[in-house]
Amino acid sequence: MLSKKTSNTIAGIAFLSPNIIGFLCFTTIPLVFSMVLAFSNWDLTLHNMFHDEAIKFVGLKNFIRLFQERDFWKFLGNTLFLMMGAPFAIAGSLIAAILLNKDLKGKKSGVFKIILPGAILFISCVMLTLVGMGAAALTILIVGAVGMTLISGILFGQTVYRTLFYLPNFTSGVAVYILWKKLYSPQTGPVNAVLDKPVSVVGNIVNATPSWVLLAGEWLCLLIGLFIMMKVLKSLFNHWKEGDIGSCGLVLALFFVMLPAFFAILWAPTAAMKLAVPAIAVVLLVFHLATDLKTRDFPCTIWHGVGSGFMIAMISLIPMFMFIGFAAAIAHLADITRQTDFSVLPPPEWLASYDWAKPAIMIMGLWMAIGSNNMLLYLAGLSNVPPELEEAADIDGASPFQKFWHVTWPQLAPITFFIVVMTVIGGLQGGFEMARTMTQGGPFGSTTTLSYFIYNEGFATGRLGYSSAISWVLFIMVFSITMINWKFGSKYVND
Amino acid sequence: MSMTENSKRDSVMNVSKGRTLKREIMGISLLHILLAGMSLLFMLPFLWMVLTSLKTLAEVGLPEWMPAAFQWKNYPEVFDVIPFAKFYWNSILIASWVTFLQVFTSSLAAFSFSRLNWPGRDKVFLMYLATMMLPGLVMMIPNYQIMISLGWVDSFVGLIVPASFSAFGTFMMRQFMMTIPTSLDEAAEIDGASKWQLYWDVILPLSKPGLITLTIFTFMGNYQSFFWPLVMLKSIDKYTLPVGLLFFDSTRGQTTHLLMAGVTMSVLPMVIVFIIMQKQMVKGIQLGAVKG
Amino acid sequence: MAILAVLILVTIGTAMVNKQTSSGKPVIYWVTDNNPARALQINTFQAWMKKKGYPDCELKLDTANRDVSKQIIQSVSGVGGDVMDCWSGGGDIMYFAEMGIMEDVTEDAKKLGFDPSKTFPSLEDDLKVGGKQYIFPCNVGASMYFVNCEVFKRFGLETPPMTWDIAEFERRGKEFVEVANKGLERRMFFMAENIDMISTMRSYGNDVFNETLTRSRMTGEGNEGYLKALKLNKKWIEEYHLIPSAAEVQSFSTDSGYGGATLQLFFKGNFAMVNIGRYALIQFRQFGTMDLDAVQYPNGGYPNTIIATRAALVYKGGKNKDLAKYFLAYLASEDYNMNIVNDADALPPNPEYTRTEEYLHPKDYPNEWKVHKKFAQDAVDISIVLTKSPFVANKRVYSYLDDARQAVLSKKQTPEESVKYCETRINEEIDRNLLEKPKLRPEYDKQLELQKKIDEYRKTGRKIPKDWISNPYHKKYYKDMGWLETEKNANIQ
Repeated sequence: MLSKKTSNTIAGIAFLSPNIIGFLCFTTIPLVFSMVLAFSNWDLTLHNMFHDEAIKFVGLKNFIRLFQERDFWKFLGNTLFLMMGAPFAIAGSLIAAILLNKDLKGKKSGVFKIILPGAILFISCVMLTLVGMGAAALTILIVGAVGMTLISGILFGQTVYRTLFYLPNFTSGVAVYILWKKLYSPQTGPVNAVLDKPVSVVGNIVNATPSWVLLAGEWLCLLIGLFIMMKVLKSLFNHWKEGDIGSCGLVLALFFVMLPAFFAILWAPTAAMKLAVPAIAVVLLVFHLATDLKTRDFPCTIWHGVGSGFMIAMISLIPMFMFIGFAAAIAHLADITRQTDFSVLPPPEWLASYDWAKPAIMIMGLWMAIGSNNMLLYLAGLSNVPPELEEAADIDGASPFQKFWHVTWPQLAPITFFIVVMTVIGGLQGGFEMARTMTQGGPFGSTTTLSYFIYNEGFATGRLGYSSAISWVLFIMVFSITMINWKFGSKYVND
Repeated sequence: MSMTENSKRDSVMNVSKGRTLKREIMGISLLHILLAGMSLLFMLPFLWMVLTSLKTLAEVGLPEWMPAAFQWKNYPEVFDVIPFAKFYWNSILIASWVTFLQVFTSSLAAFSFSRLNWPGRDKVFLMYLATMMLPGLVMMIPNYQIMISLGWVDSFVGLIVPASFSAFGTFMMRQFMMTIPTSLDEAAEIDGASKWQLYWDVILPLSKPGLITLTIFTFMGNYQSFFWPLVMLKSIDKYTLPVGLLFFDSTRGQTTHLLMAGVTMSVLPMVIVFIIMQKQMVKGIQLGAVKG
Repeated sequence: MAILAVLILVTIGTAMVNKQTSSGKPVIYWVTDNNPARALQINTFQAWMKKKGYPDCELKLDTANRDVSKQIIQSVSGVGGDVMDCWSGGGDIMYFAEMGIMEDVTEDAKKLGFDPSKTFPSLEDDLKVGGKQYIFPCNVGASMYFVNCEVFKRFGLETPPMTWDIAEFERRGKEFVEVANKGLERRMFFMAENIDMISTMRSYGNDVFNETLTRSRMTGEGNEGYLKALKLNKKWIEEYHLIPSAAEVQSFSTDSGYGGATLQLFFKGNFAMVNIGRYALIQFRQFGTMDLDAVQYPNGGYPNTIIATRAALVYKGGKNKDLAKYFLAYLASEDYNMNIVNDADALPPNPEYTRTEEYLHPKDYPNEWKVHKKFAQDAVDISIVLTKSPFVANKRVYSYLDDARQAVLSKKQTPEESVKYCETRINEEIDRNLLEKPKLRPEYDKQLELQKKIDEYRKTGRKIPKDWISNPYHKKYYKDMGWLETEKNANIQ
């Protein structure tokens, strides 16, 4: 009899073998090839079967060149900017999955018998009224579609809604992009039709407000941001004192929490603010370091609690950036309205404008993410949650939120890990299709992402060695983020 | 609206029961309305696509969504100008093969990564993960050279085999298998089950939601894949739909209305696969609920 | 397991149905985009081969999209199609030539009759790289403004003249947009859908590159062509609204995924003129009838237009190179040319066939009769190919030029800054390229020497020997200006 360990190893390799053989042939070989070439001057115009010039190894030259590239940082910034929507996107798909996993039939047959005739009656009335009023064909069509959805949803349950939510993934990406271009069209699109009034009202208000009030408003926003920072710092140091977060986690969290203060140098409207905000932040930090570092009630290992420190920092970043953003927005609005030809503040030009193209694409990404693969993954994850656990929680009298937090969410942790990793990969490598079909990377490179850059370098100029190098830089970024996730992510991820 | 017989009977029997029923009706109705409203948001691109496929060429691209008259003849026309049925068949066949192989090999590998303990396991797994992080573009040429040396250019094998081993599927199935409690393994071991039995009889049935989801992803991904088939295929009778549909988007000008008709029709198999799979998933939940 | 069984059965079934009955004839593959005209072109090729008594063979299509990546991947791996399409406009020919994947057909062209003399003279610079011919056109595009005459009539205005200058365009354009948009809530009518930046620059006597293609030259005294074009573009969009802004285009319709709605909007009259080649007629014919005319771009002194071609090349690694060369000969034949003429797919490769009655007055489309002759005429008289330098990746150059336009319109740079920036980037790209490809250096240095001499001669007003110039734009411009030495100066140091 083989020892347990040996038999496990044999079984492990046996189960892996069908996959890993193909994997080695079709993934690993090209991968290693491209890694080697990242250090070479491989150029399609110099090296191919019709030229016998030898490929030269150039060491780190490709990488050095990349960091000196004029636009690399801009494109990296674009890519990271578009990724900022990712947490919201994941949350959105989770919410959609929870909604789509709810019981839609009702436990009693009475429910069904009441809702169905009710819905049919209601929809018929609406349709008749619309037709009677002579509404546009498109309106009737859309209302009819919603009505049909409702009725078939009642009849056939979740599958109908799931299919419809997932529908954008079936249609070609191009159809989705064209639709969004239509939605965003500056003068005729529905987005601006909705925004038109509120924006001009806001514009008028800003215009009518004396400038000292605006200035006070900007200061207020920044101070609120700083106040949040103060609170977070305090709580972080408390956690450290109580041994919830180790020193390493503390340093990491502090780094992220301090970030907005330094971003304020870029964003803050006046020079005084650019100076004051980071200064106050540093003072706060120094104060805490001076007072709190002396005493520690419950020491712990330095790697302890990196994950929770990171989470606190990330969650606190959202409101802090928001308030700095508010301050910048007020100043920006005031600038626009101060211009002489101001009559009515126009809504943004979205994809046609350098500054709005990226936010526009981010919003579109959010929409696409809700009914995406992530939603399906969460749906699958939710149906894997053992019902016994939920019932046990019910008996304990847990509130729906408690039930979710203590029962469902931990069960979803491995899937969330998967989604986060894939989102980071997809985010850093993404934007290629979008850039090609929707914006061609413009206006003036404002929507060019790294993947589009790699493509252009590789195939438009033939410098494949260089584009391999860019790819590997991207690889290192994704890999380090994933490793942080892997090591310090939830303890459920790799038990 | 008056109360129906049913709820009347309920209310006679128990007043509080009637109240919960009323609340349940309210809750479920609201949920339906919310979901139907959200569905509209996601239906729009599809609606636009279908309406465009019913336009004439001169109407395509104008701001109006509705065509002046529905051009149903666009659909048969697609079949007239390209061997659409053949492309359809090729696409479905290739996607089915890839789905079958990928789900199978991925679940095997995932079982190894999640339920068996062997030295170096996590390192190998990290390597799997890492391969997904390199943009595929730079691997295109080496991969193509491998295909040439294997003689797989212009064949279905060249489309099916390389796609059948994926790090993505392995990673995903591993995560799903990790949600299954380890106590089951121990119980199976005590019963004297072999590793294969553990995989086939215990883990696989329990990871059904994961398998279903992976099936959907793989089928859709391969059904829609464009660039690799474009580079690999030469003969027209082997074309898949995305490559075949290029016919409507050429240098000679675009026939967007026909293209959209083609795309609309090409969506159908995916929707069918999706609905069947989701039905399975919902059924799975209900069974579980009954058992519980 | 049941699934596996079904899959295997179905696959075997499909394989049996698909089993090809090989004809035994040699096959040549043509990598091009698949479209409704190809079947006929393939049939006429086979008929033509038979007629000419050339060897029997089969021509098969290998679909490509408009992107070169498929061609690149296949041809550097040694399995490219025997004949491949390539676009001259964006610099693919230069790129392919650098890669060395094209067969030199100079000699065969003379033998089989598809040398540059068989096509438009101005295309010669695109057909040849380094003095060798590699390609022959499948069709030829020279762009003009198509005019929708009904729109001008509707607003009681005259149709523009064939040749006009910038001021004239501005005057007529302002008049048009004022009359057409009167009483409208937002602007719905525009004079043209865009302005051709390169052609406008050239009409001021400048080009992206200098005479020897060694440097980008867009700033400094006497080189303000692109700057002027940028300023005009900005003025016409933002001040006079002769052409729509990006936001206005998107407000009309946003159907850009598949080629845009420009032509539809032209048909409806929202754009009075549209800047495109003759191939647009294919679409116009499907839309319906409209009274068409064509006019030149407005010019800043030197009328010109851009000529480009979708051409076919013979792949160096192909198995049937000899047969593939017959295909290029076929492109010069009457059978093929008349096919293009009847299809209205741009201009036929051979200008001879633009003099046929079928070309000038197609029976079914009298509404187009004003157009055909003008396109053929302009392609011969005033057209110049896009400049491509052997010292740089030309795709980059044209994307930088467009970046400059976008930077100005999105107010990120002033026109002056953006031209400077663009020039710097192109020159940096040249420097980088020379560093990476030292074999270009000797030729580059030689050309630099020539450039110095040209600059000297130009300063003193002396005439320049024709052979010194390699930029196709300057070749023609200097000749038309009378700045070239009439007798050849063979003595080049």
